[in-house]
Amino acid sequence: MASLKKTFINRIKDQHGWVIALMLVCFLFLLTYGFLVIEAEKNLADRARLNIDVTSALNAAANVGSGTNSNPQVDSGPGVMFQVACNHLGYRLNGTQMNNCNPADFVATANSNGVMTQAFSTVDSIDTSIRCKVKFDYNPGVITQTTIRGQSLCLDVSECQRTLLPISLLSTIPYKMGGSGCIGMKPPVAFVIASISPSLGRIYNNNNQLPPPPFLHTSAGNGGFSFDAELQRTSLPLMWDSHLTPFYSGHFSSEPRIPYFTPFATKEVKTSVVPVQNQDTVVGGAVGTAFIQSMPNVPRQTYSPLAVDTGLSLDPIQYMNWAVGTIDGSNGPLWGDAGWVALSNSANLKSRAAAATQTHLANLCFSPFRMWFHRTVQQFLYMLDSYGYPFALSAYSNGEIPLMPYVPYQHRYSPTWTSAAVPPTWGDSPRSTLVLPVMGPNALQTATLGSPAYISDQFGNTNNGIINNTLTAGAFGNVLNDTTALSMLYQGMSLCAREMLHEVQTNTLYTGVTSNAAPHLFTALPNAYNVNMPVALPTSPCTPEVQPTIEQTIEINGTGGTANRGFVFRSGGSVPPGECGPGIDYVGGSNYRNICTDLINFPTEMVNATPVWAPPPTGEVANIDPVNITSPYRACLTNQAEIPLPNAAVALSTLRIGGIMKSGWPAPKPSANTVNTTVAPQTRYFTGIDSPNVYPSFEAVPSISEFPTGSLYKAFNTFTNQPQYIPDPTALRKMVTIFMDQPPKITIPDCINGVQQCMFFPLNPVASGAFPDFTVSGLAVPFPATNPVREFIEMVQRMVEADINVAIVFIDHYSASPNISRDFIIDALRDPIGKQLTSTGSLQYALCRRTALGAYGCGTPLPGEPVYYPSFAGEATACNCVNNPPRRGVYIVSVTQKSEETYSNFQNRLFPKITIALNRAINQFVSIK
Amino acid sequence: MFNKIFQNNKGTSIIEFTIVVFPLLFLINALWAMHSLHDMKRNVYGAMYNVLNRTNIQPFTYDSDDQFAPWPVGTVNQFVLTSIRDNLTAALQVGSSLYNLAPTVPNCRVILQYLDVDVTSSTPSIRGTATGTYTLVSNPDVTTSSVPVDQLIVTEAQNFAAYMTGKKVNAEESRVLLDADTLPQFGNLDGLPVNPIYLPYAPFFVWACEGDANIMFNLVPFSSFEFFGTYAVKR
Repeated sequence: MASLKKTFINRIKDQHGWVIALMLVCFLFLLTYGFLVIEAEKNLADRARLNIDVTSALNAAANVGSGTNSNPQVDSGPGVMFQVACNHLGYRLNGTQMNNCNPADFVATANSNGVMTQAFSTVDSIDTSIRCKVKFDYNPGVITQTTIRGQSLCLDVSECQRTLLPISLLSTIPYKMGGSGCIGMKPPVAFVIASISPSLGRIYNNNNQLPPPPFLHTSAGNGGFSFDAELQRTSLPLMWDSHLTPFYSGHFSSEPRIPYFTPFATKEVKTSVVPVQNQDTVVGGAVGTAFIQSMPNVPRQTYSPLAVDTGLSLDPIQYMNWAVGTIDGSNGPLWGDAGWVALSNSANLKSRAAAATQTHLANLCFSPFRMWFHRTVQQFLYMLDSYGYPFALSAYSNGEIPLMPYVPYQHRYSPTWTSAAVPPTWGDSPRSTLVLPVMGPNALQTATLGSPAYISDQFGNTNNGIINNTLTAGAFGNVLNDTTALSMLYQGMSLCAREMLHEVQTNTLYTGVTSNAAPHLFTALPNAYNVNMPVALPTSPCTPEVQPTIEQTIEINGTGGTANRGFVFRSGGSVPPGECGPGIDYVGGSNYRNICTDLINFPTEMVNATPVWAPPPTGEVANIDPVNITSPYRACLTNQAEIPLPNAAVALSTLRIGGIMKSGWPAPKPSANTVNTTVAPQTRYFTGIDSPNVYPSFEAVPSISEFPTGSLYKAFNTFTNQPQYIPDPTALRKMVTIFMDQPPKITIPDCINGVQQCMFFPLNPVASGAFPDFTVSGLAVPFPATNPVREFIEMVQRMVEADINVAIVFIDHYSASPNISRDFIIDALRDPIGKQLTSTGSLQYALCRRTALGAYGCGTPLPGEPVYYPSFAGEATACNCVNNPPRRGVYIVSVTQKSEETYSNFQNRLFPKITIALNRAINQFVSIK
Repeated sequence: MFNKIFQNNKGTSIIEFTIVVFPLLFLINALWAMHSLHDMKRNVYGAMYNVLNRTNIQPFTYDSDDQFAPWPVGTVNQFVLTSIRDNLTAALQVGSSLYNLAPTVPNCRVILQYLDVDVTSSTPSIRGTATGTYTLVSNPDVTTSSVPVDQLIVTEAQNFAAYMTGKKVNAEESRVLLDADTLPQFGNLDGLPVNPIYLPYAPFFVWACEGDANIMFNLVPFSSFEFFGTYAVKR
């Protein structure tokens, strides 16, 4: 040992460079190790870069969406998804191969299962120092009864190796890196809700509600009103400014033609028999025609009570008139019949105000705002239809639901109703399906149109005798048989259609001849697709249950020769000024109204009303369609079975028109605070008119209509209670889309406890304690954080947590108070800033809001709200988080009609925004790998 | 032992020590710096991924007509970029220990870039492609800035716009099903009349980071670094 030590010391003494040598060894070792570590770090960094590039490319592909076009190579779909991702990745990888991003080539690789794959074997990437393989895979997914798998697009950048030779020689197993990811979209299912409020029909900026029905009575405390002035102010003109003519600048080569020349096609049925109607007197029974007899039950709007024929049954719409209290001292329910309406008891006036007069319906049904609201809802339905996504639809209102029937898109464009049972179409003319909003059968059911299968699909099996009729012994199916049901479907069958389809036009308005010649009568085409079908005046009243209109036509003659007015539907710019309308190409038509519109003079007060609906531009006054209005749907067609239960018909049409359903069944309420759940929902509808179970006999209290929370609740139930229909509910993208124009004004407890008369929602209503109690009872909550509003927000938040996406579409007017409530809702649909389990008097979530509310500053929870999260309280207040995006799963779209904005401009803004937003919401690809 | 060597060969040993140790120290520093550079690069990429990949970024706002519109300069920071930058800073702060020894904190910036898109062409292969023009949205304005990272980001935006010109960046956003007799027939949806809607611009994030790496106790400049890229935000 000592010798070894001595040798070592000597060698050190003798070899002074050994130190350097030793250090060099260390140096080289360190250098090698260092570069290896650096290389590894570099690889890790490049891999991180590849991952971000892959994610970015997949994001670009996700923005494309799975395709709204049947040609996947052109505008969207997997081909373009590949193309966009490829383009974007190519920029970052800088590979020449990536310049070949032809979507057609990608689509061409599809195998029998639709799986597309394209691989690039040598893509030089990252400054050409790395060479990778790149592979795109698209899988269309599978939807069967047992398997649901969404579509996906995967991008794999793999086997990336450095092209620098020395590095690659460092190991026999070269370091390989890469990045990969997938985006996928679950198959969507949609629940669409249209929340109908009366304000949809408003026509004036300063009036948030429908014009009141012009029931004027000299002894009703309205002495300050002039009938004419009131009528003008509240009723007319109702003009048609191509509301349904989409017009997008830049997308059209020419002015649009008239797509809808009338809401309901009509045909003149009588030209000379009906005597002149003047301002003060209606001649009803004198004519004795069934036409007049069909609308006798309500006196005209006049100063003087009118003797009316009270021998006919009541109109279902009048049920809404059901008076509280009586006019004769008794305490029983009293229908607002003619005699009642004509009475001079002012105490009944408020109930009369709930009557659905023709003016009321005219606004509600044909207001441009309402039309566009529904047309926008339809547009979303068409999108879903086009995609082939299953959807349910619910319309809810506590009042009337003016519906625009949903027509399957295939039928709008090219109906194939050619069976003998159904009159022929108008051939290939697109108008044949666009002019009349009627409901068509499902595309797959055309062969069986009229068959029990079709009716059963639409109504349930009405021949099955499942519904009892309390008036007429026997099964309901004996009454509403398939033929009758089809006729109900076949016509425009909403309240609007039924109530607005009679019209009397003066000879002056019709021909331009100023005289008192006989007016012209128009009625609905019995078959919108067959204008050759004869339409004759009924030869007899439809007794015993005729379906009359509620009122006679409003104001036939002008006053003082200056105010010829009527419902004038105006289209935009398609007719040269000074000429009559273009003449609609009816085939074999005769006696269709052809109004030379320059004969129509609008009274000054109409034109200057603020705002007038789409006032006719200068020089275009003549551009009024040769249109008609309203003509009637009369259930009493001579070739159809009579319908002894008109209310059932109305309920039916309301229930199923266009696939739109109310959000619930009418709730029999034997007393104020109880709900009779033992009566089957169907029975509640399909009972006699005097049955206590019939809708809307319990709408005695004038109702508030805005109850979107009820619809949400139904959607919630639908999506969470149907596992039997869905192999794997989690495999679906559940989307609830609610269209609304007003903030909620009714809470669920209000409905349950009878504070408001409500329709309930399937499942059958249960005891109030079983409902989630969102409402803070007894706490003063500053506006706009009202209980209905907060309950609505809570419902949405709860649905999102249940993996149900919620899209809220506000289509509203500019109006200060509702807009504040709307903004409160939008602000509150951020991530909650506090949460607790609910109990009576508490809310589940603490919500963002933009301002202090009363005594509740930004750092103080509102009454009923939980305390804020500790992590949140330290950094911000409730007023700061409103700048955050909406909570994940919540989609908010809002389009507000500006003050004085024309409807044409409004609709130009409406469609693009909403369709884009909803298209993205429903077709959302998310990262799945 | 070493004391004896130094006693006997003081000059040589000092020279040897100097020759060996200082380069070695320099080498170690250089290796460390290079390592740090890549580590920072990895951290930057990771931070960008973490920040830009969030699902709640809204790359559009709405104009006075309620239509999709690019963010204006005045509010883009408030509603988009500030939170991104804050998150980016936070993400970088949690870098590796090596990063903490790095000489210079990366100077990173993120802006929004809107590429203009052809929406009028009737040719499907052209419709939806970038036109080559673009708008940068940032506050302060990077286009007039002399800050290196700003200039870097502008260069990257220009390169990206040039590359994407003529390439499809936007697909059809939606389609409105309309009357057959009021529309030119774009596309072919089973022959059905439609009105396709395209967005006339496409948003991208452009990001860049730059900084310096020093060695020898942060006294000797060693290298500068520039990382940059574009990111397609999911809209």
